[in-house]
Amino acid sequence: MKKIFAFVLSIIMAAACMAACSPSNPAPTSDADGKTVKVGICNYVDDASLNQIVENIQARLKEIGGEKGVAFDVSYDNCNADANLLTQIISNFIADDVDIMIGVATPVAMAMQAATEDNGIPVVFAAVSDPVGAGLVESMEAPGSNVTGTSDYLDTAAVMQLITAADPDVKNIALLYDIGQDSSTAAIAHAKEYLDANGIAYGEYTGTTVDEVTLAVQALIADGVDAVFTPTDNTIMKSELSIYEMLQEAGIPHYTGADSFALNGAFLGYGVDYAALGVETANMAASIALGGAKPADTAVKTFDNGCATINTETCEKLGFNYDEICKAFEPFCTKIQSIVTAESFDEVK
Amino acid sequence: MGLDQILALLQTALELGLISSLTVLALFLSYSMLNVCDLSTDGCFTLGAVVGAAVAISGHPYLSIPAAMLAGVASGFITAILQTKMGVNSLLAGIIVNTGLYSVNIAIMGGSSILNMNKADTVFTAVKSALAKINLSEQYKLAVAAAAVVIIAVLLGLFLKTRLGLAIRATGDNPDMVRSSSINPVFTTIIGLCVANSFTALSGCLLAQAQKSVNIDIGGGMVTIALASLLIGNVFLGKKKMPLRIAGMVLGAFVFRLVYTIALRFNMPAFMLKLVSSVIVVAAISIPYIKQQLPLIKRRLESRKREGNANA
Repeated sequence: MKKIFAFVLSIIMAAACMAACSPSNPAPTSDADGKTVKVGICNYVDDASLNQIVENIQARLKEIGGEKGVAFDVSYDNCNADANLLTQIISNFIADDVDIMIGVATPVAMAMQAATEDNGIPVVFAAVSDPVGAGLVESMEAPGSNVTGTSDYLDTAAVMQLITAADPDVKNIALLYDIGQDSSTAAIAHAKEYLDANGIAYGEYTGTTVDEVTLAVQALIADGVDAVFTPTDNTIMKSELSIYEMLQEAGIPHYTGADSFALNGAFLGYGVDYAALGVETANMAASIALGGAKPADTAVKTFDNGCATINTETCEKLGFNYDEICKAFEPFCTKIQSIVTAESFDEVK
Repeated sequence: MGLDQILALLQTALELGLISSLTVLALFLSYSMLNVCDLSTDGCFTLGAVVGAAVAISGHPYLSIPAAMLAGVASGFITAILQTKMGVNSLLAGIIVNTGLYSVNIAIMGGSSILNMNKADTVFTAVKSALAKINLSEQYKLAVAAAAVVIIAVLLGLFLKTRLGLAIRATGDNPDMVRSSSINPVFTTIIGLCVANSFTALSGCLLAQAQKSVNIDIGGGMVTIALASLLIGNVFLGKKKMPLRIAGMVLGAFVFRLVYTIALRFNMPAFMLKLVSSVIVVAAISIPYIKQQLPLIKRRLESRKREGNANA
């Protein structure tokens, strides 16, 4: 009995604690305008691309705050793929009375959508590959509810065109991805459609861990494919440093959906600039929080993903001439840039 | 920070605590009663979530609950057969099933790793519209979770009092004695794991439906969270009679969530929470132990002092 009493007492004390020590980050000093906008940002997992988005959102919000004389009070958390924790972080945001929530990656966006169904707090998502397929918005043009945001939808056909531009005789393409990655599902389906329509053979190679991906790469090398395609797949991204040399030695170019792959040794990364995506997400959040734009009529923003990043070291090892490759790729890209192999972007800059 | 917000945060902790307490009850049965550490819990939790979501999305909100529980029974059955009939070590059996369930779960979701139930009817939406009539629609998650926990806890309590339930408890305490009283420990292990895994799957099913989405990572780390909650619960009510011990499990799950809520309130970054929970589990286990050892340590210190005095 004593223990139960002690427990009840401790709950009351805990509640008192929470009341007394409510968010300890000091309220930002408000400007002449005197307006403070509370923003809750939640990231799904630690990942080079996702972190890059968050950094750019925070930096851009600060900039906008300075321009418009508004203070953005940002609280940021990362749930590290824990579904329970994700719910608690979001309810913490709601208890803090945030004016707007930003969810990075699909699972966070979905949890925020569910949590705001009744209270209508606007939600801006970032880097959701397929917002309509995930049921976050009714359509890309008119989302129809309190949820909108930016999408890193990958233009798969464009990558396929690059493969044929570099090697017009390509006969067999390997699709290397993790079947458990939602961001790969739509892109792989599109790739298959494109390859079927163009009469190019393909094989699927999947892995869910670095070990399995390495085995998959050994299998595709043994099968003698001409090129490898990987969409914005986080599992393959984590494995890239362990597989790029195998692919180089086998003389197989790896075409991927993000520049971070090229940084880690893949031949080509083609896709969304995540820094720009973060900036646009912040712009959208600001226009909803400050300008009174309605999420329901704010179209989901997609990006003209025409930026190709070529790894010059891999390019040379594969026996391609960089200038010739650039010329072949030019018609399909808005921009071509080169990069050398490194572990992180900081090392290159 | 007003009272409303505190209540809202406590309510979230209570909802999550109640839902995950079903997994704690599952481990209470398999770990505390049967003495089997069932490492298939993570995969089984996801299995329940995925099956529940798939059935609900296809338009059968009520069917989703028994469907998820049956899936859990199937998973528990395989884990049990592996360790009782096929000579696989019990820890390994759990790991094998857990690994295999990954593929099964992805297959159930139709090759995708994520499902959205935003537009689907679930048990929660049904209860929500029912509660709207009496102006309690904000408490719908709590109502469903509490109802599920009460039903399962009562059933578990009654089950453990039956002849079979007593045999299961005895299997964990002393398998040799069970064998010599001509009860088949293989049979009790199979039944125990099937029942336990049906609770785990129900827990996953409810969490997914409460969050209106499911992804392949939803069960990640559930076994550690549930074990931690179980040990915390043991500290409060571990040495009481069975009904109170069961209540202690639910309490443990709630306390575990409450710690997270408070830590988040103090603006502790979320990645630190795992360390917090480790410290709490260590404290929960070792404080009673140290308390028990305290007189002995005191006596030892005193006798050393006396010796020191005598020598001097």
